[in-house]
Amino acid sequence: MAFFRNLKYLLVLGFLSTLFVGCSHFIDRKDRGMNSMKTYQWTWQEERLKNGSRLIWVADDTLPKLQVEVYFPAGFVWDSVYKKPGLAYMSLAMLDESTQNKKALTMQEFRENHALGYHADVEADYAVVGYTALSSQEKALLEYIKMTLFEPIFDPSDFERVRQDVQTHLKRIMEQPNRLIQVLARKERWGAHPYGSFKMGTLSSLEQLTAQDLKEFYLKHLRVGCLTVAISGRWTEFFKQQLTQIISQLPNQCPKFSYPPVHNLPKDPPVVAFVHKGLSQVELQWFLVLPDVVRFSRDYVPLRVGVFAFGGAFASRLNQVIRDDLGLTYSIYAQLDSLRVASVFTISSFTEGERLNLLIQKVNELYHQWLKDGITESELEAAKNVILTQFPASIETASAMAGAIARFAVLEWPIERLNAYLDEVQSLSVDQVNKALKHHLSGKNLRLVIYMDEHYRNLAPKDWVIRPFEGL
Amino acid sequence: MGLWIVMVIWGASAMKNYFDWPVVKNVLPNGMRVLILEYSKIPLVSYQTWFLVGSRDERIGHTGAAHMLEHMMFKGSEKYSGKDFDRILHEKGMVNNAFTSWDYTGYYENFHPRWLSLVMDIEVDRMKKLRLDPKDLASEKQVVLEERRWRIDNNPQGTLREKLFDMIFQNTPYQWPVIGYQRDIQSYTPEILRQFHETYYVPNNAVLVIAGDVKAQEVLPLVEKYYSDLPNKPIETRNWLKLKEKPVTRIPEKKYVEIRKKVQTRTYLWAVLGASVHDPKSVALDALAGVLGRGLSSRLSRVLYYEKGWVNQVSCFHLSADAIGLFGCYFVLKPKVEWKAVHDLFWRQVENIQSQGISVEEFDREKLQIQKEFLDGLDTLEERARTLAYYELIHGSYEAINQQWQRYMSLTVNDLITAAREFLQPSKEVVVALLPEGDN
Repeated sequence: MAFFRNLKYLLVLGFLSTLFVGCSHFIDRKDRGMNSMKTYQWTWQEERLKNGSRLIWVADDTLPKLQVEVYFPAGFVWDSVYKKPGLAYMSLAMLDESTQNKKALTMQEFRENHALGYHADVEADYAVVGYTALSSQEKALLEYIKMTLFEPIFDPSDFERVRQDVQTHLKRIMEQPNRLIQVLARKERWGAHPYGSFKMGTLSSLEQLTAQDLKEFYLKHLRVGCLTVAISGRWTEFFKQQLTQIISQLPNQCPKFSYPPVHNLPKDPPVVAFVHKGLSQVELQWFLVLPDVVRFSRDYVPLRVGVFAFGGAFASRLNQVIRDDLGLTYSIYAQLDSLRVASVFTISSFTEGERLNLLIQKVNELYHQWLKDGITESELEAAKNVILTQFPASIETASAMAGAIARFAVLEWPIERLNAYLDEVQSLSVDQVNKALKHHLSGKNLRLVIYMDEHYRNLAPKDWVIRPFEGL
Repeated sequence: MGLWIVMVIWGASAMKNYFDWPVVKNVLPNGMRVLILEYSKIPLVSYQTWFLVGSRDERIGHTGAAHMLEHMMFKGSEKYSGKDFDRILHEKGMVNNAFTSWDYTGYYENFHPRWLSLVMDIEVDRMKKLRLDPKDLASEKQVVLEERRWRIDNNPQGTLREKLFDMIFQNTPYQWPVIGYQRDIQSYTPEILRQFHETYYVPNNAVLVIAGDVKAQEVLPLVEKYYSDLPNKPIETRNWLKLKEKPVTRIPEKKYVEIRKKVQTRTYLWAVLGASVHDPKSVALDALAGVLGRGLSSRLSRVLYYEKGWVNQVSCFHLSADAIGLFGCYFVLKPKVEWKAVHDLFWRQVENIQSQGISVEEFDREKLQIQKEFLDGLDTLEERARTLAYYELIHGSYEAINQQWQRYMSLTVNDLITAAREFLQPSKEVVVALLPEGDN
C-alpha cells in the first residue's frame, strides 16, 4: 500500500499587499488497492504580507460557514521574560472586552447577535484566537476581527472581572484531578524552564498583574505583523480583500523569544506524589523530555510510530495488558508531543488507590520490555495502517487542515514538510523505529508524578518524594 | 430473500443548502433499518450500528447494565475473541469505539471501504452471540468501576449531575446514572447481560448507517447477505413507554440538596422538567434556554455577571431525551454572594419573560445561533453518519431532521413565552448545591 503524492506550486497574483505565494497539495490514492479509484485532494493558498504575516486560505464549499484562526508568536514562554506568570493568557483574554467604541457587554451583544463564535487560548510557543461565523455574517465577522485585534482598551474594571474569572477557573482545575495532574507534571518536567509555567499563572501571580501590564504585552506581542492567519470555509472575494487589508495594517514588528537550553532539566526525584484529601482515585503521569527531538528531527516520525504501537490504540501493548487483561484502569495511553525546541514522551493513567503499586509495576515492566525488544514487524504494519488510513479524517474539514498548516507556520516549521509525513510513515522500517526508541528513550530517566489521597501515603516506597498539594 | 427498498433522496427545499445529501434507506424483512450515505470527500467509511436500548431499559439493582454490555461487546463473540477483535480492526487501520446514553447504544468503526465485508461479519457475529466469559466480565467490572470513579466519584461536577438527575427524574427510568451505581456494577452476572443482549440487540431494534466512500448499489447486497439471517424478535415491554405516552408533571419531593466536597468554588445547579424531543415545545425550550442563559449577552449573564457581578459563570440549557426533558441553569457564585439573592434575581428574570416577553433582537439572535449550531454538528463524515443514526432511531426517520429544522425556523416569540409559563414554575424546581466542606 502506498500513498502517491504530487506537489504542484502555483503562483498566485493577488492583492497589493501580497508578496508571494500559493501552494496546491494533491494526494492521489490510486495505488492503495482500493475499490474505487477516485482521487481526493486538498489545497491551500498562502499569501505573505509585507508586514510579515502569512495568510493561509483553505476553501471548502461544503457548508455555508467560515472560520478564521489567528496565531500569534506569543506563547506563555514570554511570561518568564517579564516574570509574570499568566501574563500572555490574561492579555489574550482581554481582546474581546471593552474597545474604544464599545463596552464589554456591547461587544458580546454584537458577537452573539451575529452568531459569531470566538475563542482564545495560549500554548507554550504560541497564542491563538479563533472566530467562526455563518458565511452570511462575514461582514460582521470582519468588523469583530478588527475590533478584537486593533481596539481593546484594557479597561481596569474589565480586567478585575476577568482576573476573578481566571482565578475561579484555576480553582476549578484544582477540583479536577485529571486536569490538575497535567499542571503538576508540567512543573516537575520543566522546573524553572519557561515551559514549566502554567498558562493561567497562579492565584497569587494573577494578583500581581495590572491592566497596564496586559496592555503593554498586547502592544508588543499581539498587535504585531508576524501573524499566521488560517481561513477556511466559504467566503466571498470581498471578505478576502478586506481581511487581507485588516491584517496588512498591523505594524511590522515581531519580537523573537530566545529559548534557553533544555538539557539542564531536573532529573529528580524519580517519583513524586502530591497528596490531598478527599480523592477516590489516583492520577499518574510518567514522562521523559527528549531535548534532541523536534518535529523535523530525523527520529521524530520513527519515535511517534513506536510510541503509537506501545500505547496509542485499543490494541496497543499498554491497553491490552493494563486495561483488558488486568482491569487496572479505564484509560491508559502513551504519546509523543512536540514543542518548538523539544519533545515530551508521556504515559497517562489512573486507578483506584489500593491497586496503585500494581499499576506502576506493570507499566514499568511493559516500558522496559518495549525498550529492550522494540516493536515487532506486525505492530509497525498495524501502526502504519492506522495512521495512513485515518490521516484523511484528520484533515477532512477545511478548518482542521487550515489549523494544522497554521500551527506549523507559526512555529516557523516549513509547511511543505507536511506533505512528507505520509511518505515518512510509509517508508519506516522496524529497525529505524527500534533504533530511535533505544537512542532517545531510557529506562533510567523516566519520571513519575502522582496525585493521590493522603490516605495512601503508607503505600509509598521509601524512595518516593511525598509533597502535600498546596494549591496553584 | 428480497429486500424491501425505499429510495429517498434527502433534500427538502427549505434545507437545500444544508442537508441535500443522497441517502438510500432500506428496511430488511427482519426489521433492521439501513441507511447508506454516499459521501466521497475522504476515502473512509463511518459504520454506525445503533440500538434502541439505553440505561432507561434497566431497573434498580441492575443499573448500568446497558453500558456494561457495551463494554462486553468488545470482549469476544462466537467467531471473534476479544483479542482478535481489537487486533483485526487495528491491523486493518480502523478506529472504533462505542457509547451508551439514556436512550440508545451506538458502535462505530471508521475504516477504508475495502474492509466493509469484514466489518459486517464482525458486527453480525457480535449481534448473534456474545461470549460473556465470567473471567472477562470480572476484569471488565474493574474497568467500569474505574470509569465510574473517574467520571463521577472523583469528579465533583459529575457527582453534582448525578444528584440532579436522581432528584428531577425521580421514579422514572432516567433517574439513575448511565454508568450505574457502584453496587450494581459489582453485581452483574453473565446471565443478566446475556438476557439484555438477547432482548435488545435484535435487528428490529437497530439502525445501521454506512456513510462514506461507497456506492449504495454495491453495499446493499452485502447488507442483505450478512444481516438477513438475524431473526426478528419483538420486544415485549419497555420501561419507558408509559412515560413517553404521558410525560411527568409532578412536583419533586426534594427541592434542595447540598453536596459537600473538597472544592473551592460554590456551584448551584437549578432545574425543572423540560420536554422530550418529540414534544413540539422542546424547540421553544431550547431557544428559551438561549435567551435566558446561553452566551454573555443573555438575560442572566447581563444581570448576574455584568451588572451585579455576583457570578463567575451562569448558563442555561435544555436537555431533551426520547421520553423526558430537563431545563437547567448553572451558577458559579463569587465569594460572599448569597444563593438566595441570586435565586431571587433569577426568578425575577424568568417572571419578566413570562409577563413582558422577549425582544425581537433576542429572538433573532437565538434563531441565528440555532442555525449555526445545527451546521456545526455536520462538519465531518462521522458527524453526518451519527446525525442520520440518531434521527432514524429516536425520531423514527432520518428525514425528521427536516421537521426539526422547520420547528426551529417557525418558532415565534409567543412559543417561548408560553413555554416559559408552562415549564418554569417555582413549585417544580430542584436545586443541587456543590459547596466546599466547612463552608457556611
